[in-house]
Amino acid sequence: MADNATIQRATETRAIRHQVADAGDEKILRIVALLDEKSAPAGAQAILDPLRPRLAALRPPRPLRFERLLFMPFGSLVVPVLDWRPGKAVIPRSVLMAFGQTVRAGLGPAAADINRIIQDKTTHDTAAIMEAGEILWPGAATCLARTPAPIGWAATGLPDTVYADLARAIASVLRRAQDLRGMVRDAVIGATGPNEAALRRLFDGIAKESVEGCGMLVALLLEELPHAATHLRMLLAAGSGTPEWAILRQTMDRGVDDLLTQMEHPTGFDDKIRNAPLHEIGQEVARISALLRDIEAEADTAKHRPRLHAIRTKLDALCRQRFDTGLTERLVAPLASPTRAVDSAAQSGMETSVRDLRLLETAARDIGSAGHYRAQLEKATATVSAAAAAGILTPVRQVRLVELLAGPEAADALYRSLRTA
Amino acid sequence: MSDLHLPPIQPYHPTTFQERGVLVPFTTPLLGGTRARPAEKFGLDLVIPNPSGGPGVYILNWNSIDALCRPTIHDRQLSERIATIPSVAPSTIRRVAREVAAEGLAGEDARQAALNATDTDKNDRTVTNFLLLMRLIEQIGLFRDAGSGDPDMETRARLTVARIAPRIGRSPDWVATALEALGDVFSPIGVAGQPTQSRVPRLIALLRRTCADLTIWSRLQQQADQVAYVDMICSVAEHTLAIAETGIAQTHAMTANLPDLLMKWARDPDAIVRLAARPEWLLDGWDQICHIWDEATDDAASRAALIEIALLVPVLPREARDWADLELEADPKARWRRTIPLNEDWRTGGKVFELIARNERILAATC
Repeated sequence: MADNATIQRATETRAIRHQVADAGDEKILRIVALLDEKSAPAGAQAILDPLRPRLAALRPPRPLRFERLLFMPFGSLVVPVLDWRPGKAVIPRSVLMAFGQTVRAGLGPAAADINRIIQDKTTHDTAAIMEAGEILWPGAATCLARTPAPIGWAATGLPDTVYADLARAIASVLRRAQDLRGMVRDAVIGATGPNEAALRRLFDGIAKESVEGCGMLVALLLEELPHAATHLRMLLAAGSGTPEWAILRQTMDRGVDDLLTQMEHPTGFDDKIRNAPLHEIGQEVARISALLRDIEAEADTAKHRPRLHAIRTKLDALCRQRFDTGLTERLVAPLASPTRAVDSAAQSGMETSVRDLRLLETAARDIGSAGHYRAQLEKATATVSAAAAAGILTPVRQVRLVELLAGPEAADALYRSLRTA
Repeated sequence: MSDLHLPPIQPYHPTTFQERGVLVPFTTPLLGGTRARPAEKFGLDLVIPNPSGGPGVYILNWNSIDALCRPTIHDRQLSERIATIPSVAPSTIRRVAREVAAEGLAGEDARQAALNATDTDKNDRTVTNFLLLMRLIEQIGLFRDAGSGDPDMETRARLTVARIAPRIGRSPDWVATALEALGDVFSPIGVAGQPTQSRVPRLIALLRRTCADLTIWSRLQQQADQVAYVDMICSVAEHTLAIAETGIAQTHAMTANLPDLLMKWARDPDAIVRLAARPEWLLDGWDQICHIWDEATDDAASRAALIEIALLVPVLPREARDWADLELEADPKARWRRTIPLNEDWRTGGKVFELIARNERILAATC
């Protein structure tokens, strides 16, 4: 039976959970920082669980701990324990600590090297993540593939029988984590074309992996890489009849189905589109849009068509909403009711916001509502002109904003008219 | 890039620096690496790197920019103003680019950087002028036995100039003006023993650091292609640095005998201007490359930057070998026959906004 202190702590945690559920972004970020400072993972997990979708969108810097680094390659595949079922290509959050301890023990002295690299670093320190990840992920893959006796498994709340399958599935992904991460970043930057050699390497020996591991890999590819479905289809076409082919075909079908189900869910991408930092939204929408297009391009897509249509409609509405809010908050409102003339810092801030919004709009037009965006941009251009007429903006600052909102031709015409005026 | 009305890709093996052209700091992504050079008959040519990453360039009339892409307002103004300049040189392109940036057409940071750079150049000129004058006073030696501060520096300068003028066969006013003009010519590279680095030595240090960074980074790479790109880039950079440093040393050596330099200036000032300008011609385009590398913050971004840089590495014209008293092998870039796997769509679509912003940051850093 629980003692009074335990009951008291549980009651307090429940009360905090209720309070933070409705908290604003800034409050959430403060709470996360406070909990991270206290370094109390168990209590923190209970409080943070309901906030995970919003945290995923806000992406605050978190201390780069061993377990956090270990599971970084899994992205959104880490789910609350209630959303997990045996055989599903996801990882219950409650096992992270146990796997972390098991891997730490299995790595021996290398674990100390990793700790030294990640000490005082955060989840935003890309170089530290890559450096430590290069040691941790392949090492952990080798360690977990051997399924050593787990450490601290009792705290996961899951039966012992679950451990081995999960360990092997996690090992399948970790073995390929560096390639996967490299491919995702290449796709985000976009300067180079798809790395087919890396994709082939990713699926090398896939027939030997567990079904769950295979599923996780396909799910990650579909989710993280905009054109993953096309690449996967290419691989399928090339390897028809091989054992890999059958496994890939099956896992890809299931992966696409799972992904559509996830996107249909209210927490699918809604939180991300509504709350993620403005500079990340365009990239995110472009990724989802490319993924939907690729799924549509599949030969047997007819069965998905109604679902795809509904997802597109939802995404379209969310994009419009985020674009309108962003434009109003970051440009129209500050120009419509200024407290003083726009200075250099304010101008740079507005330009950055408009650039992020144009990135969102360019990606969102692929989903729909091109006319809506055009009208909103025209309205914003009119606001800029009014602000310039009121002396809030210098002529060149007006030209710069017009260039971003209406294009270089409009800016050029304005610039010439201002010079001759 | 629209392929309508585009001429065929042409081989690009310039024999002189004029033929190589001068890099124009355009901010439109599709114009990255574009150079300006005098056209065969009149006006200017645009030399645009092959956007597919293959060897060769597009060579187009200067007024064709609008037909190629949608240039930013900054680039429209820059190209219009460059079209009116009488001669293409790194210094003239930089002056026009600063004027346009100082208006604010490439953003607030570039505006401030352009204004600061003008001040920095002015300070460099003042320091170089002062040092040349000090050196002349020292070389003539009228005040070798005088105590410090007596007579004052202005009097020493006046008396020294008056002493040297008859030896050159010119008036003291001419000597004073010539010293100022030499200060302008020398200020980008500075004079030997200058306490603060001028622009060209700063750029040399930056390029050395970039090469060192690239080499360290490439040691961690497993793909042979990436190592080969770094080898090619660093090899061309090392050649360039070697010739530039030789040029600087030759120019600095002239100040060891300032009366002689003033006599040469009286006879043929253009020869001295040309010699002093060589390092700038050599290093033209490398500061953008260094800053593209600096903009890359992780491994994947570095890989992408490397590919972009490989496309932009300036070819060393044969003329460079005449400039150096060094045993140099042929330009490593000229032996490079690979197609660089650049994603052609990269510089279009939504990415355009990010890339323009990055190019504006680079413009601010290179003003």
